[in-house]
Amino acid sequence: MPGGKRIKIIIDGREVETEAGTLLIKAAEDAGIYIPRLCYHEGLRPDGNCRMCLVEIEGLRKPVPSCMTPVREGMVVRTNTPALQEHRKKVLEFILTSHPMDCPICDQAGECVLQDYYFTYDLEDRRYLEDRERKPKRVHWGKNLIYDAERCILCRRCVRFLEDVTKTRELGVFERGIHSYIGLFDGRKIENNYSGNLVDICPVGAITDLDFRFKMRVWFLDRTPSICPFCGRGCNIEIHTNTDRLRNRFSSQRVFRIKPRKRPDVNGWWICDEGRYSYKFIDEGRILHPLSNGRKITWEAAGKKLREIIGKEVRVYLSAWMSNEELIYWKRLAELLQWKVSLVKRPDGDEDKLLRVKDKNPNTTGSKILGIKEERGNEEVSVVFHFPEFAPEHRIKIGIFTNEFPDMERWELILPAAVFAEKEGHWTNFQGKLQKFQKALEPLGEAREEGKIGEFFAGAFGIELPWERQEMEREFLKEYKKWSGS
Amino acid sequence: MSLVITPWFGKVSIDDYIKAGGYQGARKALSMSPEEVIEEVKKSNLRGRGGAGFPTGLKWSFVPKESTKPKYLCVNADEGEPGTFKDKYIIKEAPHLLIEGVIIASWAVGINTAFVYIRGEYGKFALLLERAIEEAYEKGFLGKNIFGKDFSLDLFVHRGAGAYVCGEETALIESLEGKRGNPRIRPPFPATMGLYNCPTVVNNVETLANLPAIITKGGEWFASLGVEKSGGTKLFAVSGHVKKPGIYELPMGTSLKTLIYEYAGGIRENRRLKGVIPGGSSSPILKPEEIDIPLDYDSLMKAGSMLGSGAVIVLDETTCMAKVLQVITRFYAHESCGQCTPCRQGTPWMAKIAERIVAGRGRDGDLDLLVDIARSMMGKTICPLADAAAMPVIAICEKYRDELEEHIREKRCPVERE
Repeated sequence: MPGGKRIKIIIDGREVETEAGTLLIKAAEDAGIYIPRLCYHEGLRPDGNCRMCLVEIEGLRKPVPSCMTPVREGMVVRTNTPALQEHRKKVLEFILTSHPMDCPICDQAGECVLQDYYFTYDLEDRRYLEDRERKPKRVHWGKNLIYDAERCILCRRCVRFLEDVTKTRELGVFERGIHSYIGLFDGRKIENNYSGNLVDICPVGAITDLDFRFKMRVWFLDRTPSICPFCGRGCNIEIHTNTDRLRNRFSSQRVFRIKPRKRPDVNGWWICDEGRYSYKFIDEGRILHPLSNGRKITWEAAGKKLREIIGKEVRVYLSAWMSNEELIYWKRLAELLQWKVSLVKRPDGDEDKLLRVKDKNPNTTGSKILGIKEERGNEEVSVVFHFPEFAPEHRIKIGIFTNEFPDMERWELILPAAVFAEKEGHWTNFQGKLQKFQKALEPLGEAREEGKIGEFFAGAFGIELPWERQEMEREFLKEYKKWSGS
Repeated sequence: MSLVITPWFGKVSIDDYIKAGGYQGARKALSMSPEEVIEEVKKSNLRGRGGAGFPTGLKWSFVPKESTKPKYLCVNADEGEPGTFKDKYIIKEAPHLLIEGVIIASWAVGINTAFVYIRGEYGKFALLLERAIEEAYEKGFLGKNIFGKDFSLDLFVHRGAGAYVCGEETALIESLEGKRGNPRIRPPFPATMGLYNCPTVVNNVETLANLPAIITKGGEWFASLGVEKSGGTKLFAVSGHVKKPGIYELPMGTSLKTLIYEYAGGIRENRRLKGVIPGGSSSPILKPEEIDIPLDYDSLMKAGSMLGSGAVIVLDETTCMAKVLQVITRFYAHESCGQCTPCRQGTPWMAKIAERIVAGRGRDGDLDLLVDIARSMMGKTICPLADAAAMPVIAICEKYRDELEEHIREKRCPVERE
């Protein structure tokens, strides 16, 4: 209940101020008191089934689930009594009676709530000596989802996600008691555009990702905060990478997965499958060297070539994938060189009611703020960023591209650019929010970030315009303030 | 002795029922104000006959009066507690007594739609009840303008699919809504948010069958039949090793010993009594020295057991307590809905240990483990099924410890001989 009145409650002897109607588990967490939970997820309707988050409330006979209990003025709550500590051990013991304990081959190992909680709250010896329940394993649910009912703790986060978030309702609970498992309704497959989130919200290794399975131990991954470039929303993501040759048995793969990062006012807890699984372009099919009509050349030779071919009339086609900083830098450079400036971008695509917007570019708003328009010219020379299909035919073509494409030999000069994961900067999303993406990797081969390529252009024509990203960030902010009126 | 329910047994057709004075209670109730009816039921000390023993009048009074939503009555005829078969008899022998009770309750609470949720195994009785409902419609006791009053009531029969947990009122509501029968977390309680999120009363068949007499003869009369805080009579379903198993209607407060030895004819083949489960399989067992006890909610509670649904299961000296443990734990493991971790995982764990003990593969420490598992489940789940599974296990392990230990040690049953 946003905007509700502020009330005071007592948690573990501490006075905590919170908003009326907040769930106790959240109020406690906001106050720095973590109540262990398995089925509760902040982004989902609470269900109260795992019984891990029980707390004691003065005046109530029995412990209650803190995930289902809204706070009330004056409530006195205890979250960590000896009885509750004992109860948590028991819940973990109960779950582990069915658990296959195949942690060494489980992708979730290292980020598994069961492992972590056993370590933090339990550490008791095993007392369960009976046969373990056998259930379906390696069930393909559609897309990249693989389900293992033996690892499943039946928290039903996945079921609730599909009921309440995507509203596609592919999954339900089948059988009952110890035989319960999560299953697809008859004739269904999971085909929605948000399927990958099920892997994220599964607290254990019951739902794993075909795209990631058995490729990398999660503790060998470096995690860099970034922004998804695939549509105008700019969902907050983490890029998970590994470049350690000892740990990485794939010769060319550096990015192993994309995960969502919580940002309530942009993407909540989720990302779409396009954003999650389209990362392969970062490592595959990259242009690694400057190319002259398809032939590999050095940057030095590229500079020479540039001076040779550039004519009087030049139009530079900046892209809606460039950062705010790069756009303002290149706009200035073009002014100094007296080149015309246009914008190129990916065409509009599908949208939906959840996250995906029509505009399939991360920085259309940034280009609008700078007044860069989508217009075509017929100048003698075109300098085109990112999208070769926009170059006018039968003219001298200079391209600044990240990935290979057919008929590269028809381009007089191609310069290899860094992808978003290889640089830092800001995009302005469709809501007008400035969002920073950070550098997860070094540019591949001889690729350079677009600002550095700008500096290279400036140098080739004897212009003093050093690429200072932070300086450009400040410059953009001035334009941004004018635009937003703040 | 004044009886409330069994005198109507055999009056199956509506004409027989009316001839014997049936539907007088409903007629009288509709001439009273709903508040007066509730007051009368409160005075009667009628407590829910499904097992929990919650005061019926109080339960009704939780339903908000000024609700713009429709209100519903759900008749709980799921009767799943092992040992219980009293509701079946009411439906089979006096279906109109139930229908009349439904009319009275609906009038009192302001309900125009009622459902009988009857367990799937009672298919024959469901048909019988549907026939009786048709008769009541024909006479104008159901439908529009009942007894010429501005009051309409529709009554539907809904058959369950054989899940014990659907006898728990919120699971019953979920099932009635067409969903998987999982209990809901309370609050909110059904009285404010029940069927289709509307105010709902859930009452047991036997509870409702008491209403006609309470209205015709008065709440005070009904209360005086029983003991303090437990009004009226109770149907006891006696099964097990007695000479005359069956349904007995006795005033609340009658001694368990009297029920077994006088009414049910004592133990078969005059063997010695070993134990009595007094209120359905979830009630903690009583040893022979504990059975001189008044059968009412509070007395049994004080003795550490429960009156429950009044299902008295009598066990004689030839009974293997390990087997009793096995049968009971297997039942609850089978019936756990699987929602809450402790119940889903704890019930089959207990069942597997009990099965091992019976099979002669018991281990040292099994009994302590059983009790510990049971205690870890109690009071920690959404519905009371975990408690229902845990209570009998604790009682059996504690009260028959010597025998069970011998069974484990000797790896064979010390009771049953070839």
